[in-house]
Amino acid sequence: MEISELRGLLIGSKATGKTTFIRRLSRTKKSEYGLTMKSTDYNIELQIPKRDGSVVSVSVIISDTPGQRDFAYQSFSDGIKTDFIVMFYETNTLDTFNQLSIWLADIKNLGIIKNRKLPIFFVGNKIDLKDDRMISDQYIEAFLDSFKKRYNWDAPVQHYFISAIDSSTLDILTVLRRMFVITYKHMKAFNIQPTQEIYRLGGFT
Amino acid sequence: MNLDNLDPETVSIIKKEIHGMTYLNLGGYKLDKIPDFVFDMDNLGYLDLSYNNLSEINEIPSDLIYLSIRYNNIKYYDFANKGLKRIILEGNRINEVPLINSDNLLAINLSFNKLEQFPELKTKNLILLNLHGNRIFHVPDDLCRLSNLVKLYLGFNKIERLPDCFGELQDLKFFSIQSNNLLEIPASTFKIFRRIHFDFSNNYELRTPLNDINSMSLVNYGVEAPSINVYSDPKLRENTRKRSSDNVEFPWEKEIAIKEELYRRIMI
Repeated sequence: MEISELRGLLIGSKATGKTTFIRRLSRTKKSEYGLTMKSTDYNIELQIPKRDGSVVSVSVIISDTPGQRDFAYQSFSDGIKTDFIVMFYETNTLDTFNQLSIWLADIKNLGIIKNRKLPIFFVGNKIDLKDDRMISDQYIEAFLDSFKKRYNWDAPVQHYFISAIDSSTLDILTVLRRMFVITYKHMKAFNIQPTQEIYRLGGFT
Repeated sequence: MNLDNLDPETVSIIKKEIHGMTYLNLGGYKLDKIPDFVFDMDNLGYLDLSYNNLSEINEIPSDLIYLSIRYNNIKYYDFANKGLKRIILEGNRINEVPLINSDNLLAINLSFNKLEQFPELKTKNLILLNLHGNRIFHVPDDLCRLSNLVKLYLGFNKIERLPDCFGELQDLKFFSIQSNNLLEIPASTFKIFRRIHFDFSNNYELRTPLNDINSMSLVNYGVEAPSINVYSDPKLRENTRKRSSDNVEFPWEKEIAIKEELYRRIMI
């Protein structure tokens, strides 16, 4: 089975940097977008180096979803498709991190994911705001342990600290590449076909 | 544990000054009791003890206004500290709570516990109540006395009915009752639909006259899996779409702003 295209879903509370993360690749200015009101798909071509030295070209379609809950409803009501989930929070507040649990409860409640868990990537954004950082490595480690236990999540779970605006931190393409490879390997190991449907997300924060 | 054992960079993350008070985050340190040094700290306003192994809380520092004990093993919390403004007890094992009667409390989060009874609340200033993910099946009429409630989360429970007086919650702006066993929505509730976010989704037994729902802007109604979200005023939604995307203002945010002064200090 060769997979050359995968779908990812960005979710998380408003103003956590989901759109900035994905838009950075196109170098658009922050003032050119603003509040995301409906789900938008971005097609990103990735070059993945293989062990034999060759490079394969793959694409990942990322759905950027609204963090504002009422717009999220409207976007998700038609159903969305994804192979992996990227959950955003900001490292300089506790509240956006705490809100992850409501988004997670929504995901757990989705029919499709009850049957099969998707790879999930937690992204702590705004790590460039060093002095304001409130989420420690210790905190994340304990959160991930608790999450895996609580949800019995057998698919890959990863965490990245990034800055969507500061290129000196982990590069966004590197993050996406890792997400692709981890999802790809997981799907190959369990012979999972790409693109599963999610019916909707709901709930407020 | 002691802060002296930690490297300065970690200390700068877990200990800060916020709103003129000390904030301390001891989440994820596998603690089974609150360390003694915490009680000696001056002006400690915000304490986060999430993701530890605490099974009981007997005493908390006296100045606290914010206490977060998410995902520990707590079975009972006595709500004895009257100074707290926000308490987060998400993801514990609490199956009953005593009468909560502190007028200082603005926000209570008891989500993802094992509550079977709706808590008895005599907290007239409560703005936020989060009871997501419990086993509650009955919502008492007393709920309607919480006249300052702005956000109410009752999703992922076993609720079949809402009290008839529900429409009396005049300040309510966000209400979620997704994934319950709702059978019907009281008629009195309809009058507040127009100004609040309302989520009924995944209430498979819900039989609501479609005409009523349509008149209040139906967003999603699937036949196989009824999934109903009812929004605020349709005109409002239309307006927000027309406006430029980075300049959206929501009327309910203005109303919340009235309580902002109360609420500001507990959002971190």
